[in-house]
Amino acid sequence: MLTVEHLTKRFGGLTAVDDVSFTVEEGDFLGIIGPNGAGKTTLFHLITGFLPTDAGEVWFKGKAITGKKAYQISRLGMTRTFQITKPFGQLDVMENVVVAALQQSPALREARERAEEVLRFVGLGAYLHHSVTHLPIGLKKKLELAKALATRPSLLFLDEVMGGLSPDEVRDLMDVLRKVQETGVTLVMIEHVLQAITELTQTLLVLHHGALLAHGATVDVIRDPEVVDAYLGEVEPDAVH
Amino acid sequence: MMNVTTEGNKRRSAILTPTVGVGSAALFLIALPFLLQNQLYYLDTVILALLWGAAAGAWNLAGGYGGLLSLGHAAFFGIGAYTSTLLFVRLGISPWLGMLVGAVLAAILGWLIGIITLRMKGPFFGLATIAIAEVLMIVAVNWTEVTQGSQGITVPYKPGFANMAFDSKIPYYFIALVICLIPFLLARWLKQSKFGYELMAIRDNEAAAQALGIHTVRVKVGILVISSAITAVAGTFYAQYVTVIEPYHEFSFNVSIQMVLMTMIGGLGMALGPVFGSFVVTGLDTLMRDLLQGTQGGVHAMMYGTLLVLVVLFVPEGMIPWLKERFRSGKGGRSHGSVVDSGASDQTFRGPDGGG
Repeated sequence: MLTVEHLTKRFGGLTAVDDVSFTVEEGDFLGIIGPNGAGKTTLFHLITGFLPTDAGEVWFKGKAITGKKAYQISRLGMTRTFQITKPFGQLDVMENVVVAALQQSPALREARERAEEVLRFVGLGAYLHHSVTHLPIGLKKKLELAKALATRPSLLFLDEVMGGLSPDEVRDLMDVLRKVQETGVTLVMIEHVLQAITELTQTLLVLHHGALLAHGATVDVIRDPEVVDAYLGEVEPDAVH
Repeated sequence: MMNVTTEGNKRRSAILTPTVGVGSAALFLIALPFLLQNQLYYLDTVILALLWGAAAGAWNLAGGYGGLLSLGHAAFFGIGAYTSTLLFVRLGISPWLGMLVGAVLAAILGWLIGIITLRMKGPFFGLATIAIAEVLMIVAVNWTEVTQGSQGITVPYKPGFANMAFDSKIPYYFIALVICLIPFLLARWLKQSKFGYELMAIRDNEAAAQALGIHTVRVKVGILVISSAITAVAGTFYAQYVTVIEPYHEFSFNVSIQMVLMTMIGGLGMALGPVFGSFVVTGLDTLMRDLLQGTQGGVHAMMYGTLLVLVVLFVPEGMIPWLKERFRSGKGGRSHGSVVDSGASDQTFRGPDGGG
């Protein structure tokens, strides 16, 4: 479904993403982990068209999408959430998602129905007409997810949707993501919450200093001594699984 | 039985209230010029308020709904004024046609500024608009064989519909009203259209809008083109009504700022905001002229400054949201003043179909 080949991005002397290649199969749930500054978010920016690449190619559903703009890529069915949530501040919760739904159903009435449906799906049904600026972080992350889902993506990139959430909220959001996967959406997720990585993802990719350190089935990668050394540190792989 | 009747009445009144509101507002607007027929001074104030309400309303489409903070809308205003006047004076072409040509020229200029500067992040758009208005002013001042330079042009007074010149103020009133209604109705439409939702999303967060598949540059350029064209229409009307145009006024930074300030005073990104702000400012202007005859100049600027400081300090979101809040907390329901209410409520309007 997605093929990334030799993707590279340099910021001056720093190579933020260094010759990264991998593929994502349809129906997969891929996790991306790595220390802060490993280039995870930059990788997302490159694939989804928010940053120009310096080298490498990206194919989505057999089409080369390297160099395409973010909105063009989104229209092809690949969208993303942002690590720092980006709500439309002057629109309410419902309207935020209506904007997204309108991209698939231009009629306002239909878009409203779709938006409400998605909001109920992620568990924001009780907040339809709330102001987004006063939402707690957990709900803002859900809103971010709802906006992305309302565009009916086939491939969804999640940038730390669990960041800053309480254990209860993490469990709740994990259930939502399981349901998302069941609807047939392929998912790629950057995450620091290890529980979410081990319980949700089937494959795991580890970035270190911009380069691919490991890529394979989550159960195997999480036990890889090199990965444990570079990222997981003292965490006992057996303890989390 | 009682219940059923009450329910029925409630439902009927829920449907009737907006209709009655719009109906009485329309009736009032139609009757107003005839009521003021013998107070031409006040009718003149109303016409100017509608005119500036139209220009500020056009600015509000791009600035309030799209977050495009243009500080040079005088460029489009001046193009409207100069195009129709030059075509009329030099070639005898009807100002109605001139109005259309001015709107098209302004739209083209808006499109050009947009496709160049709205791709860039940062303050380039705002700076470019200031620069363009200044450049056009310099051109109008120095191209004396066409524009008569700083001396300005007087629109010859030949009453007749084709010349958009009348011996009564009432036709001017209705033209101004229609021109003022254009941006007002467009603003209402933005609240219930895909284009409008996309525009407001871009205003609030451009990257997030792109992630959802919105071609942000196209939407921003689109609203700028619409806004420019309407501003030019207001410019043509100004020329026809005031009958004298000069580069130092039409292309001035003051005119640009006036559109921004009126909108901010009334309420940014609200359909009625710029109209309300225009009536406040123009009304105060007339009042000041009454009170302080002869000492104009600086007093005018001071009034502007004071008003803006007061608004920014006490009601930063504009006067309409503030008034709405006051009426709501005071009376616990719909306010009277149906015009203000129907316009202002679009900010929070949830249609009956909103629940889906």
